[in-house]
Amino acid sequence: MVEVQREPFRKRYKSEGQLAAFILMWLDFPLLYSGITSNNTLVMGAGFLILVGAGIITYYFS
Amino acid sequence: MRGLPELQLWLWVVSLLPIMVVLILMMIFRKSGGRAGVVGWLSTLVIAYLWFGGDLHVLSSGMLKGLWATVWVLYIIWGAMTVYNVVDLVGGFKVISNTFTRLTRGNKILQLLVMGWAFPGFVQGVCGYGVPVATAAPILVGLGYNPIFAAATALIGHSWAVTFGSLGSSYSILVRLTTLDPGRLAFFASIFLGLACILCGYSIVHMYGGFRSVREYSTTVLAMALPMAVTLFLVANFVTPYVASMVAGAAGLVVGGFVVPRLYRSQGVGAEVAAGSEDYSFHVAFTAYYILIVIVFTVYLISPLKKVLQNAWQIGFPFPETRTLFGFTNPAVEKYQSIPFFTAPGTLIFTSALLGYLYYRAKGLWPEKGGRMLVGRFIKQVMGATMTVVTMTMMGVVMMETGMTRYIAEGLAATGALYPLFSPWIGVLGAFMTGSNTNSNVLFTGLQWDVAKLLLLSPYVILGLQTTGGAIGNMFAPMNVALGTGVTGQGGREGEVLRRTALYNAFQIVAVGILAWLILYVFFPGLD
Repeated sequence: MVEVQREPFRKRYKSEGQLAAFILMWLDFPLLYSGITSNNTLVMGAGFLILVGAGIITYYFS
Repeated sequence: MRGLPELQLWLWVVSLLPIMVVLILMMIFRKSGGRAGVVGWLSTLVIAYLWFGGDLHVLSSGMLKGLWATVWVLYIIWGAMTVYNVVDLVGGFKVISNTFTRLTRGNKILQLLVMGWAFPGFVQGVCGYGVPVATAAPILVGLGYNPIFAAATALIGHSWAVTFGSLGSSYSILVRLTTLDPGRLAFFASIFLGLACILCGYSIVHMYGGFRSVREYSTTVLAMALPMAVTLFLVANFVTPYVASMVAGAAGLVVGGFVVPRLYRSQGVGAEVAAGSEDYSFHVAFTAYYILIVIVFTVYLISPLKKVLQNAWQIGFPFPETRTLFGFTNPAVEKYQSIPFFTAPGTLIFTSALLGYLYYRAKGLWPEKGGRMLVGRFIKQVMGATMTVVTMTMMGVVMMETGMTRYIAEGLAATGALYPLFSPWIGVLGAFMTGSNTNSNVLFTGLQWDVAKLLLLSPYVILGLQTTGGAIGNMFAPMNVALGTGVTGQGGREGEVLRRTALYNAFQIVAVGILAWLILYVFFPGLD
């Protein structure tokens, strides 16, 4: 039997993963912006965490 | 220090950590710019929170401003990639490469110096903001150079022209932020930048083939460098600094494109290269770039037109004031880093891509399914550079908004008589954080001026060092490096470019610093 070598998930979807992280960052923009301008800590915190999460996705796929 | 913790060595080292982490990850561990950027950005958040009083409001605002600031750069990278792919899909780079090979009698060094040094300097003279790198690097790739080498060459080759480039935008900030004599400011800046111009030529030749190439092509470099540096100095001091880079770059193009090849021909160096069997001429292949040059010149050199377009539609967001727990304040802004849509370099580049595409299509050169190929290539090529720019910019803006950048600069300012050696590094720091000479000058002109007064040093020399550091630092700034890798389709390999440019950046900064130190302490002590 010939074993088929598959590319790891991270490499196979490198561009798509980075694109997803990039889109997530921009979807988060209005949320974080509204938190900053209204000084709403809860909204700001949520937006902050999403942005950091998108950063971690970026790290994984870069 | 106002709004900052007390200056202490350990904290100064800690504040420098994000930058060191990024450099080490990229240059030693060969991590991609995206990965290094994420680590740098997250470590900045931790350090800013623990030691610089950055609360959720300050940190969130810094990240969001950073994210917005990337639009400008990404717009250029994406546009440049589109133009490159449009030309490449019609086979244009093969034609361009063959033509240059014939013109320069196969002399690769001459091609490199003309297209990687004089040309980007000339383009920088009119429109900076990454356009020189975005146009020169893909052309060098098309000429057959390794993409990483091409990106590094364009980055090094344009840096000397930055201060007096973009019609003098970085220089005008120096003038606006001080009450000093603009003529004397231009005088010292043009001396340091003239030296940098010469060193850029030698750096490129050294990168090409080591010291052997430097020895072999020293005359060629000097034949181009001297007219460029002298023109820069003369125009900056006797005409106007605002067009000095453009005229100096043009001088380099004329000498490198017409005079030096004649010298080679008369000496029988090189060989005639037979014309290839191209389907169409160089001018047809180069049309997209001709269009870009014409559009850029039209918009940037016709002032009334530029003014109208600049004010037509500006995109930007207001941000409220933020203040760290130490009191470091970022005032509220009505439109943070607003983008004048119709004069933004990205708009001009995308317009030329579209017009180029229409031209090639009308000529019957556009391939079948070319649109699909273009999009497929585009996404693969730009994502790596895009994420590098995004993460690095967020890191940079958070460092600035929490006072970390200021803290590093003030630490360097405490070096006393050695300050002239460190002063240009502050300019480099500003360029590293922002990818811009202008922004570096905005950040540190006040600090450098204060330190010059405190140490009784000539403010003209010190501010000349600031702007020269900011200009040379452009070759070393991760955002610009990502632009270089992006436009050459090498996203993710930023570390390899950075390793090359870091060396020449350091070499030039040290040389400029020593010259300034000699001026201040040996040749003209007590200089005003």
